[in-house]
Amino acid sequence: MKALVVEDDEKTRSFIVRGLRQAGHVVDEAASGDAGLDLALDGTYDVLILDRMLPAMAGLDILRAVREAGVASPCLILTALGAVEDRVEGLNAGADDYLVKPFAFSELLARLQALERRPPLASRQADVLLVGDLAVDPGAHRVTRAGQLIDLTSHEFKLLEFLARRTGQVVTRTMLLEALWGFHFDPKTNIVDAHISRLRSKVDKAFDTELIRTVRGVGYVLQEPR
Amino acid sequence: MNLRALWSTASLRFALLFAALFGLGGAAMVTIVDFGFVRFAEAEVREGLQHQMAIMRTDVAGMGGDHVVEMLESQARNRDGRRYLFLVITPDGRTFSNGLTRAAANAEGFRRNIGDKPRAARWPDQKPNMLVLSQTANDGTFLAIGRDTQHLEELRGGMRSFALWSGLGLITLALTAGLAIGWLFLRRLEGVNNTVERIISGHTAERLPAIGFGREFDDLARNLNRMLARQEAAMEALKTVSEGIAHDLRTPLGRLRNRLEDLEQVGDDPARRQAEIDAAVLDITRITELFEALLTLSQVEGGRAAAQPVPLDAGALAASLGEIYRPVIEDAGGTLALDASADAGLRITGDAALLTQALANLLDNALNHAGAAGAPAIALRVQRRGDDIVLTVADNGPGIPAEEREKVLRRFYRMDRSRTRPGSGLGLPMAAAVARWHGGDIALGDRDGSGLVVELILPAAE
Repeated sequence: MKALVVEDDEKTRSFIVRGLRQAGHVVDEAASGDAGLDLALDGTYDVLILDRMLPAMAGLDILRAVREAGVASPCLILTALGAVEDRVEGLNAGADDYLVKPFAFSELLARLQALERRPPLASRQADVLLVGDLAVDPGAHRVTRAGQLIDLTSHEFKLLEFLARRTGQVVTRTMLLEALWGFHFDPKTNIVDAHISRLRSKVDKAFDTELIRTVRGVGYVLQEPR
Repeated sequence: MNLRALWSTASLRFALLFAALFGLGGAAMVTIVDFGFVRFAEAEVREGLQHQMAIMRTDVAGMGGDHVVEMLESQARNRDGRRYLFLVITPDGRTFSNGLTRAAANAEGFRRNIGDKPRAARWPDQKPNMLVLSQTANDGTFLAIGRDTQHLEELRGGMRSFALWSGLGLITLALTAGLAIGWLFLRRLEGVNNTVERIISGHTAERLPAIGFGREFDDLARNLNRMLARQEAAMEALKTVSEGIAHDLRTPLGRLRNRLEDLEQVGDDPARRQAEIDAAVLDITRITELFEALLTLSQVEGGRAAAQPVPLDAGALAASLGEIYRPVIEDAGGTLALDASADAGLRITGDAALLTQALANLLDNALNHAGAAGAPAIALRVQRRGDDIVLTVADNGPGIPAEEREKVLRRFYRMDRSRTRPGSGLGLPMAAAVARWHGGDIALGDRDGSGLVVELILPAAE
């Protein structure tokens, strides 16, 4: 993955750049809005990471300019503004995701991977999603494993479908809370883990291999064990 | 209050303006009297003179100048010629005069006995305000008729002095009234200003006294007081937050600091090192969450929350929340009694994200406190009550004593027994703020004397 990081705070920038490089990605960086815009207009990045508040040119202005120039690279906005309207404004400006500081690097990485691998909307619909011997059919709302029908509640089905569409990618608790239930806050009780354990008991328990794996301190991944 | 203050009051300035206007009005009246009324009266006099002249000319034409002189002489003996003065000179030199001199009458047409200098008579032997009409008849008889117009001058003078005095009177009255009203205003407003001074210097609970003088001024004072009350509430809220931050953030920040210092002492044990680092990161996460909750709360309380309210199905929203929480409640060995469903017609106008957060906070609280007393039994119900839709979350925990219920809605307030349990102390205030944002309210109660029952009372959609 080739990423562009535009962030004026040196510590934060080097933290992100170092982390991404360690994860095996190619990273360009810019400390100011105008330098960032020049690079972003190049259009060859798989993902853009823009700080919302930059000297001279704000992240959202860069994003608008980039989108106007026809560059469609997915964009994640980093911000210290966490209010709902700030997030809405960011998404309206053409951002694909929005991450509030301070954040865990694992959260950033998981979200970037989700952005990078996001296939075009059209091809995401009808097909049956296959993970090993698990088949998730969003059209028919049907799940089978090794040919056996698995009965899921609608919440469980949505959760499994979300994981199945991101097979092999780590999905964080926050991503699940936001995407599945519209929770833009952290509940005091661990409702995500409870749902996952329900899902596991239905999807994994009766079978030899475990498809839903916990990534400690980060989230979950649905994956055929190697 | 000094004279300078009085001088600068608006009412005195108005008074001066009115005084000036009245003065101008008086001057205008004098002019109108001069040019209109008095001129009209003078025209009457001239007409009278012309009428007399016409009679005389008829007499001269019919009877001859000598006869007219004889007739005037006989009349002068009979009645006094106070109204009109005559001078008749026949062509052969016969003359009649009852006081009009030759000097005053030696020209044709109207003449007035006023010299170039004001008030100086042109003909010193005549009365100063004599108006004279002189003509020569066809047979050469010279005819002159004069009339004293002193009464017109007196009228004019009287009018002028009336205008002058009434103008002066009005000016005096306007000034006096302006000064009096200005003084009264200053005295009333001084009370208001003194109160404002005290409020500025920190006595924020003080309120403005009524100004008086009428509804508009009292409305002003009342509105200012409402503004002050709102400001005070906002300041109070800010103070609570600052204190809350000081208290609730210092504790985890202190713990974090200690942890990082401990990290130096841990030595080479990688497992312990990792455990300390993980715990430190968790501390930061908690601090961040608290910040986040505070930010959202202050935005909702300030009425600035994101979205425009949209039509929502409260039943569907609550049913979804119930299903989201059911696994975690059941994992804790508890039960959830869910009495909510979509399409029950329980429609409201609101913001789904805010209501989700409010309900999640209530369910978190219910699970947190009910779990302490054994198997949690939580109920989530949506029903219509009159014009309201009521979302109820009930638990079987220890409940909240009636006298504490008001306080738990405040930010950061946590009952002593809750101090050791997780929670930010912002859950209930957030739920309350969301209810109020929707134009509704929150009510705390108990279930037959135990447990806590929280109701979000929201106005039903039209």
